Amino acid sequence: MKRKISKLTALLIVVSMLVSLTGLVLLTGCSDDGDAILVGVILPLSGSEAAYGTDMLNSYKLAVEEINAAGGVKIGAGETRSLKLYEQDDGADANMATQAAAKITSRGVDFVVGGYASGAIIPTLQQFYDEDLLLLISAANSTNITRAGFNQSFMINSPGSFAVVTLMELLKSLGSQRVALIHQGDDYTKNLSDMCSEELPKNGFEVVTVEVMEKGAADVSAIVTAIRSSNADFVYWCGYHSDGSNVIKQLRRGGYEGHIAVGDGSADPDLIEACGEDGEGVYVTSPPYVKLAGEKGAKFFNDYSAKYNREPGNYATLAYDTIYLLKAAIESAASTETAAVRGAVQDISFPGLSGNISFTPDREMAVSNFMILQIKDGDFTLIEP
Amino acid sequence: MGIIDRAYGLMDIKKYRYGVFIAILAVTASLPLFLNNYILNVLWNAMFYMLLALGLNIIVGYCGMCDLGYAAKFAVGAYATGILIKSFGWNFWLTLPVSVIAAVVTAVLVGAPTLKLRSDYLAIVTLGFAEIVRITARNLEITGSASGLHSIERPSIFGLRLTHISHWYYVFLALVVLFVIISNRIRNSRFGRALTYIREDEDAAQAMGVNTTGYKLCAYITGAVMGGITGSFYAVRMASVSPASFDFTQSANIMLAVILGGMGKIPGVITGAAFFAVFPELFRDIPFVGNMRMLFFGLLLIIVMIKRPQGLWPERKKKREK
Amino acid sequence: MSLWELILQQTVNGLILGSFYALIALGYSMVYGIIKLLNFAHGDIYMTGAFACLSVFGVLSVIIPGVAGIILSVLAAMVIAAVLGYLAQRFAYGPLLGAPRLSLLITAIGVSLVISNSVMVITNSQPLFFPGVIDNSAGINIGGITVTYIQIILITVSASLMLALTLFIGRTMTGKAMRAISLDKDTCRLMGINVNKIIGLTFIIGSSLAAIAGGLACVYYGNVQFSMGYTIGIKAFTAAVIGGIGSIPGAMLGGLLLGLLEAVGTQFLGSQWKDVFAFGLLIIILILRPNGLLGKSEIERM
Repeated sequence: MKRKISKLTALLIVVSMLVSLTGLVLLTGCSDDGDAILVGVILPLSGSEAAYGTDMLNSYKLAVEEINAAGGVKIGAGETRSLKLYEQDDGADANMATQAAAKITSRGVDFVVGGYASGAIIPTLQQFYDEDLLLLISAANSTNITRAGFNQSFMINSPGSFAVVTLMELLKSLGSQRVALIHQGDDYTKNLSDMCSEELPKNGFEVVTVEVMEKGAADVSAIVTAIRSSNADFVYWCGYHSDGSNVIKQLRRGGYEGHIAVGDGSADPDLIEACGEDGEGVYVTSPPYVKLAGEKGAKFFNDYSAKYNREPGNYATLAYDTIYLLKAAIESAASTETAAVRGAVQDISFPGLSGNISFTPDREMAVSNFMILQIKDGDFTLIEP
Repeated sequence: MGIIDRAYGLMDIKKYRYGVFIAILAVTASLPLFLNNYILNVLWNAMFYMLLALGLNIIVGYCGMCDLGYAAKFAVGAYATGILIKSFGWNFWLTLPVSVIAAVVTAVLVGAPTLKLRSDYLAIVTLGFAEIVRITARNLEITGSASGLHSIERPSIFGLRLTHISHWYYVFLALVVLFVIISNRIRNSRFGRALTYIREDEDAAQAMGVNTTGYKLCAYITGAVMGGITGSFYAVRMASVSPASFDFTQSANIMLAVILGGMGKIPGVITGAAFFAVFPELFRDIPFVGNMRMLFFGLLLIIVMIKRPQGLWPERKKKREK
Repeated sequence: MSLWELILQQTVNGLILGSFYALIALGYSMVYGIIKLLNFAHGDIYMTGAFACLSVFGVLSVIIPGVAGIILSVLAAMVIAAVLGYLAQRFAYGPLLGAPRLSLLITAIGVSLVISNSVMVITNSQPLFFPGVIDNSAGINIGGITVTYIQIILITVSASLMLALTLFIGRTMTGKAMRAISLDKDTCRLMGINVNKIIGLTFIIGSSLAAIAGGLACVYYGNVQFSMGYTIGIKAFTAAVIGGIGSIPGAMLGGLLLGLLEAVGTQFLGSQWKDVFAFGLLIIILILRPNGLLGKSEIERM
């Protein structure tokens, strides 16, 4: 089939393609940030993990607003600059995360915060490193991140190995011996479960079974039966709170009568609401719970709840601390140069809502901030094992 | 006849074709000189999907088999390279032949017993196999279990260590050109014509003495090898491989790129992949709309399919008398 | 737990899960049978059903609490899902009935994206929880294990729905028309069957069944999130294919079988391998019986 193509049409097509390409360039190129310190944020804001990402972003925004309202960040003698966030969605997915990171680095940000899914954040480390950007990771706590060899990434959340220590304290105080683990087959939950399988037997506990619940699977009755037949007296749920309530309810319904504990992925007030009566008595190895973090914590809790009309989730506190830690590091370095601030972060001892934050040479938390909570009368209460 | 078709027509005229091809190549090759990292990343992602789509196109577009588990072929290559580099310290370029062999072996294992199935059953078998690959990779130690493999050593070419996005841009551009040439050669060969025949009417093809199962298996292997090679390059480009990258969504995405563009047609497949990779990015910076981008993408898919059921850039067929 | 109790308990678990798969698989199978479409949006219709049931009950429980409220909510969910299914057919699939089948598949993926992402935006990606109205622990003792009343209701409801559907397809004129259309659409038109109407009806029935499954899941598991249709959609599709896609009894058999396989796999191979086990068996079944367990062999024309 032959067709005449007018040269004009061809020209039109080429021109329109060029225009749309320039459009894409312009969209990313021009921006007016004034004098502010630009902080890139990389979080899952869409997809299955969007709830956590949004929660953390809310915290960042709250902290930035507070800091700017109080006059901004003081750099050296008399110079103050405000903070500005530049958030990009990583969709908790490796491919999308590299796009988001590229977008953040192209924008010329000064620092980067964020990081929820370890699997998404790891591929971006090289990108941030190439652009000489400091990365403060608020939630992701896989040790693969800090051990990937890029010395500009710090983890504000305690690595899972600390959760295992806390878990063993709990096991000891309850006198439980036979532990069943359930994870969700992704990087974070499986990492936690693997660390338990490795550490518990060394300390005299027995891991009787390790189960996997796929994300979003409604039915866990087969797993419950398998756990019951293994005679476990303690179940540790390593997964997230959106599925955690389901597991707890079905464990109780399926006739399991032993102890249940959940990891930090489930330390969310939504868990209590979702579990109802079945949730009573469940233990949590939790990152710092904001309601129990004194006066400052209560203020944050109230401000957050008032602003966003929901309680802060499990990583909100850490996210809030991340911004204030960044502010403290910039002020102590009296500079926004990456090398200087990096040094300041490495040496920092920062009193956050989540407890005191300081770092090991591996850029992981020096002191565990995990605590044991128990659900009692529809609220988290602190347990001293 | 709309303006789009006229533009497409330009490339269908033989005397223009090479000119246009070289012009496009020249423009794309010069882009890294004046574009920022982000746009290069988006374009890289587009080329990555082009490679996968061109591979799947051999299976779906040329031969008409419905493969919903293409991510598995790509995973096999990625893991072969990742494991050999991480655990055995191989040089990246030496892992490529192994990756090809691994792809061939898996393709034969899955393909040989199942290719005689009806296409919808083939779809579910490939889907099931892809899930098996993903879950196995997640459970085994050698594949790094759920975390996958990290910090895979970046390869060097002529002494240049490939780290920056612009390096990878050129590497993938070269691969796209290579895959386009391969696809084009296959299409115009005896093998390619046999595949078209099978796609149009398998029974008739068989009656005419075409060894349908044999040709289908060959097409399947070719597609798998292209996926495996792409996977190998992906592993070193990302410096990490994780099971989350190979779920069903990934397979569906690749399928989508092929059909959206127009199956069987090389420029169509490329357009589809580019469209798929670039469109969601346009929404990144629009406030409030950001997390609705997959919603708009879905709507657009439906509209495009209704307006152009054969894809954006379909294969031209002679009109059949009825 | 004795071995006998264990086997019995896992069988019950498998049957419950299998009933959900079967209810959803029916919709896949009916739609496939009639327009040869793998309706990828079907899992999202199930999700919409659960979501609708929860929202309606949230409003309705003020006036009509308890079981009556739940039944009404499930019915409302059916209507909402049926309308959604019909709209999808009318505006997205309808115009493409003559197009290549893979284009239809992509359209279905598009519809799936639209539905799940709409709910994601509405719920702000947060999971929602159904209030604990139903007593989930009361039940009767069978052979040493407890089967709760709600489990009995679940199995009864799905079994009777499947029976009703079989009778409907087998014994009524509309059912006969559906079967006829799946054989030859053009001849049906010539014979005076209103093909578009019947196709629309198929979507309405399939979507309502998925919505019932969604509503029951919402009440039984108490957990609703926008991504819940994804995994179960793929599983139900698998179930439909195991049974022989296009066959109504096949979809039921496939669903129950897949549920049982998963329960057995979880118990004896560990839950991390259960999907490998289920999909592996699926591939073997298809190699041995290329048309599924109850599917008719037919020569395919693309």
